[in-house]
Amino acid sequence: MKNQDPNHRESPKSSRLTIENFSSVFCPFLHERFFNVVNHFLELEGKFTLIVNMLDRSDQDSIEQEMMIYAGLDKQRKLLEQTFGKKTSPKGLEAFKKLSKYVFQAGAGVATGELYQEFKEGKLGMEDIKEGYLSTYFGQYLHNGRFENDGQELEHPILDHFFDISKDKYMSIPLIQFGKFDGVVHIVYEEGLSHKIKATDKQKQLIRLLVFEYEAILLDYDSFGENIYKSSMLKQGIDRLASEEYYQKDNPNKILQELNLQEYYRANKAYFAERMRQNDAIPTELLKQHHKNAIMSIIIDSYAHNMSAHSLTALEWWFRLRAQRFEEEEEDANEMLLLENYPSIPVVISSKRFAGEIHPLLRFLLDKGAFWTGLTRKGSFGGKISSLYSVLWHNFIQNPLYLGTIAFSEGILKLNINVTIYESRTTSENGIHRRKQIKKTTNREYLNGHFVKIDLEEFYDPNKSQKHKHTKFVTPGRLFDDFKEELKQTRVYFPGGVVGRHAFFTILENEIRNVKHFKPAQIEHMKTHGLTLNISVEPTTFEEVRDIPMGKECELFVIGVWLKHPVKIDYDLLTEKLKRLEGDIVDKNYIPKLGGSYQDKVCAAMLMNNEFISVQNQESRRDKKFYPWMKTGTSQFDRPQADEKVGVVEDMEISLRRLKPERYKLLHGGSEQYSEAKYQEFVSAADDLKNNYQSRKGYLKKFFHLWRGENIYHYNKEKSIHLEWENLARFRFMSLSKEARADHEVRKSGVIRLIEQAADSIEEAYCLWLRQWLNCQSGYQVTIKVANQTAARLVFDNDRVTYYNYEKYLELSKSERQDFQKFDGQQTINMVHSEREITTASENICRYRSHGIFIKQICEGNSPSEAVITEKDGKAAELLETVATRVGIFDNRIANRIKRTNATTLSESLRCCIYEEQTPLWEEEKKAGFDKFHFLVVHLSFIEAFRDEKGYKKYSEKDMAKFIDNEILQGRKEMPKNFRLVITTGRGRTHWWSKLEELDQTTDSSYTRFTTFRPVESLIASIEDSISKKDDIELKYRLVKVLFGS
Amino acid sequence: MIIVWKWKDLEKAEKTEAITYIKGLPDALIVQMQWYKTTSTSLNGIAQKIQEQDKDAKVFVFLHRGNKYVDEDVISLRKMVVQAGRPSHLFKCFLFADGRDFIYYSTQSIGLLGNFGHYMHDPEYTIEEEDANGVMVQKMQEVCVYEFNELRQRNEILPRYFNTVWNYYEFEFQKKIKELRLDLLSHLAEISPQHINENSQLASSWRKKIERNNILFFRLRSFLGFYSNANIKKKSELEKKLCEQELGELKNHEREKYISYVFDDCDANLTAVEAKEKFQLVCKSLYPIVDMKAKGQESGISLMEINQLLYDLASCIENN
Repeated sequence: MKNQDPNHRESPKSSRLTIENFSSVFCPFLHERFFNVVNHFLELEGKFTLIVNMLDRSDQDSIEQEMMIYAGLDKQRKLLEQTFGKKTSPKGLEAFKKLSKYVFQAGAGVATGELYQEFKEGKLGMEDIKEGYLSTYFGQYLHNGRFENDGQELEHPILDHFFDISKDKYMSIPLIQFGKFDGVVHIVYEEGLSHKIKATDKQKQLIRLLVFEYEAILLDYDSFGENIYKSSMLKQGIDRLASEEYYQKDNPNKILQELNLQEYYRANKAYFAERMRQNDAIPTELLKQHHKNAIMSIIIDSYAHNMSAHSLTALEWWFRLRAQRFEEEEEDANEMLLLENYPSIPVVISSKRFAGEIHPLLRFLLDKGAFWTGLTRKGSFGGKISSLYSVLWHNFIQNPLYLGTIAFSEGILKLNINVTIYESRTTSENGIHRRKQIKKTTNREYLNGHFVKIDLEEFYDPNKSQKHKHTKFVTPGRLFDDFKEELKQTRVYFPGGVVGRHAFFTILENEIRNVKHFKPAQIEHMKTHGLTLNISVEPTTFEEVRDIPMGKECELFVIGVWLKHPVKIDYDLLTEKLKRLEGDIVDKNYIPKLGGSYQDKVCAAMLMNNEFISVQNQESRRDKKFYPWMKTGTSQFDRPQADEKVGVVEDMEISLRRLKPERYKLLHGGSEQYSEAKYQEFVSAADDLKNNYQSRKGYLKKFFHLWRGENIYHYNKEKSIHLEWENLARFRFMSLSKEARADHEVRKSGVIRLIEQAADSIEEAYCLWLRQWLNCQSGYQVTIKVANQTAARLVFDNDRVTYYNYEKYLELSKSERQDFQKFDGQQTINMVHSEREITTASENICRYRSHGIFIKQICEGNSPSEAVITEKDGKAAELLETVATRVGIFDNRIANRIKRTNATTLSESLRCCIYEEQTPLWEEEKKAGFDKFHFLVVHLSFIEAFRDEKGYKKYSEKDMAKFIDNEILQGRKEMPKNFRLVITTGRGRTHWWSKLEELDQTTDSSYTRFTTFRPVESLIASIEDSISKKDDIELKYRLVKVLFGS
Repeated sequence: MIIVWKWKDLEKAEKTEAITYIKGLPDALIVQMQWYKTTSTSLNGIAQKIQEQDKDAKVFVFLHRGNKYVDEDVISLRKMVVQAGRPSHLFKCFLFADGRDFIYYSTQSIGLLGNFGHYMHDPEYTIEEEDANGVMVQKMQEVCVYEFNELRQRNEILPRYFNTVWNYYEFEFQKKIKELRLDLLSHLAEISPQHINENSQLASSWRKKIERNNILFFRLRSFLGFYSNANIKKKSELEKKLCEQELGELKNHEREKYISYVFDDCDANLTAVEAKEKFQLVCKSLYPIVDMKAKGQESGISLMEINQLLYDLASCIENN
């Protein structure tokens, strides 16, 4: 059974189910059903009628005010006429008509009111269910001609026409649903039926029967009409109804115990859970759709605000002026006079070229497009582990035109990016006040301060530093090299690669846009000195521990982001964002809530859970701890300056559960995860914050989390308890037992490198992995040649991967070399350094560059013949995996890019065959068998373009299984373990994946074991980067990384 | 032979020079030098080394471009050597780099140097051979330009490699000039009517024709000193970039064809007065063809005259 959702938009009285067409459809239906139940159960076969007074469920207000109506009057009239064989009297007809509009307070009814009162006071018992005479009921009228209320007055002509009021009888039975009073069913009958009705055992059974019947009908209507859009309104907490405590404390009405309802709910727990789950399923799906739409709107709003309204508006204007200025110059205008007419902004007036600044902007926009396609994608399809340096420096900062104009509306064209690196998180007093220790460089300087400056008003002076290749407007700060080293070590997992990266950027961009909240005087200061965005990085753990043990590799980084300009922060300002984020991203009418805070929430959710749609998740323990994925905080303006001498910053970090401890109780209450001590800790923290926080000048901060990218996850029983907390996708390898292979969590993680033995180190993991991935009997040898001369050998003998550079290779004995030649895996790569004038791709010669990944990262700056690539860190193995992984790609966009470069080299030397989406090419490769590839990448639109003999479409998106059966498996049961089919598409279509998952769950198929998805933008981006760099090895490296997901 | 290169064994031994002997050739040797041009006096060490050689011996110096040597250094070194009293005909200096020149084994499967800072040795060098069906197939074969002399306990270069390289460089300039002449003729000569080849044409007209074969055009430019360092320095940034591109293409072509086409060390090595005069005449007559900014655009020249000029130059070098 699902947990209660504390953010549920409807009334907290969740049993308040409204029913569409309540009076016209539901009530007659219910009346007839009750009539038949009573008739058959009691075997009355005589004359009786039911008067059903029940809660008006036509709208929330009526339910709230506990208004009662006469239910199913038309049906009652017809049944009366049918049973008694006579028509209703004209007076009776009039009375029926009036009763149909009659509404009364639950407590105001005559017989109904009495039962209601008793129930309300918790005193109702079976002894209160008594037979009575109609003459007693109408006693006052019979005595003095006055009715007790209007309802009774209207009942009289009806009953008087069909019954003998002087001797016939009635019995009132409470209508109960899930322990709640919902009305009364009055059975009015001829005196002769009395013996059947008043039998005590029959009474109990009848009441029980009506309870069961009524609850079942309500459950049906819970997912009917408008309710289809709502999650189950009948979440009564069956656990509670099945507990002793409920009947002792919550609802002491004796009748419930006499009816033995506790046992009933206990025995039927599973049934109710399933019914409510089913009822929830539809609205959950619908709500998800609303969430999907909202996510799109929220993120597009971010683009409209950050990019379009500010940056692009400024840039469009500047470049228009620039065009005009150069046109005028061409017309030989006086340059001095000419320049007076233009704002003195370098982009407008400088004669320098800006292609180097425009291309990162275009790339950024291209990546934004890829980011959008990821918005609605469900499921984790890998990501990318990058250093925070690489992401900040290469993907973010090297786009000065954009970053420098985000605050253009405020007239600010200078942006300082500061960085603060903390040691691993330490104990906090109450979880809110935190003393953070700033990390030191080897020169004992604190890693806190200026990282870079982006200034669109000034060109970077290249004489200051030649070391860093960057654009004209970016100036590295004093500690740049120290930050670089540290941030390079900060390996972060970005789910979905470019998608996660842009989720991160969106949060940073939003913070920059917060400049709008500052006062004019501060803005003036920023215009001169720049707007300073501070980013802090602090390793932490997801576990609920007070102290992180020394040396423990933390799973997460707390990323703090703030504008380093002080503002006065009171309690409301400090907490308002969190309070806003507590709720849903859509309002009660499903309208998306727009604005920076919600953009942050959506993006932070994606970074934590790998998918945007998780934004409202509050199910798992991780969700409960981290929801709404952002924290707010502050540090005092004057305090940190004093403390900076000892490298300590005092931060306040406020999570929602510490701000609202009742949430903790609500979410965990009753479960074994609940800790009263923790709750009390939260309460005390919240009270302390509320009572003792004093307005102060400081920095308003926000915090979110990024996962640390790691190497190996050991999947075993002990660790699997952490699964609820973990993000498996952040690992490059998953080491797991054979039994665990089928585990859904493992598959869901999207990790491709699954190894079936324990590995203690990355090099060991790689060897185990390469053994199964390359599947060579004796071994695998890659010969690296330069101009036909052997420069190096990469040898995998199934136990270790060894890189023999030229000198080491010459030291090998003849017999050793001959042994390697006998390996069944052989590959030769002819390489050339492309700076040495190979500007265009040559036939079957792989180009590499000094600043490419191959040389810089793997060979550590040496040439291939001199490189010392050790086993350690798995570098040699990583190189082997890169070059030996066989990739086949059917995608027109990729083929077009490759065609103009070096398709032959890629296919012959680097085992990467790229094809246009043409059926004859497909058929040719199909004949050879696709298992020759490790990764077969196919564009979804190509699959949809297949035609049968009659020219009809062969496969649609939902026919993916058919496609795999016919085209890939071709009669086999499954593909080899070292084969993956990768479906790619530029749109967010993943319906095919859901279908495959469904099939795998319901049949014995295993499509999802060897099928996965990668966004085409990620594949293209990996190729584009390397093509422009003229580095073929890097192209393969990047492509393989995207395919493996890490 | 003095080879100034990035010698890995010297680097490892932290030495700047070493001597390699040639098997069975007591009068020949190779001086390996690990010498970088870092200051203007960097050439002194090399000049000194040349002077240390037998005064009647012919010395070929190979300067590795990767050690920062350029065409101007060839001129300077030559001046220094001549000033020190060595007859100019006993000294030649060549630039080499990037595995493109004849001195490398990989260009013609005969040179001395491997690609990685050592004399050529590869136990599994790739060669292409015709199989029984006439299809070219790749094979592995051990190649080593030296062998170990047990008696003297040292590696010695095998004479066939040394001799071939020596002989090639002895005649390299003539060979390159002759090849350029022949390639120009075959590209420009008209079969009929023959007299057309005697007609004088403006530089711009020749330029247009030669440019159709851009590699040939770049070779001619290189030969006439268009890309010389002294010349490049005078050019605008854009022109410099274009020159770099053209040279890049030319060097790329060298790598693909395994033939040296660049002439940056040719001019400096023409020491005989007559050859120098002939070369200056060639330059004066042909330079307007490769540089539209040069003087002499309006004067014409026929193909017969071009042929004669180049023929005379090649013959003159050969006779000297």
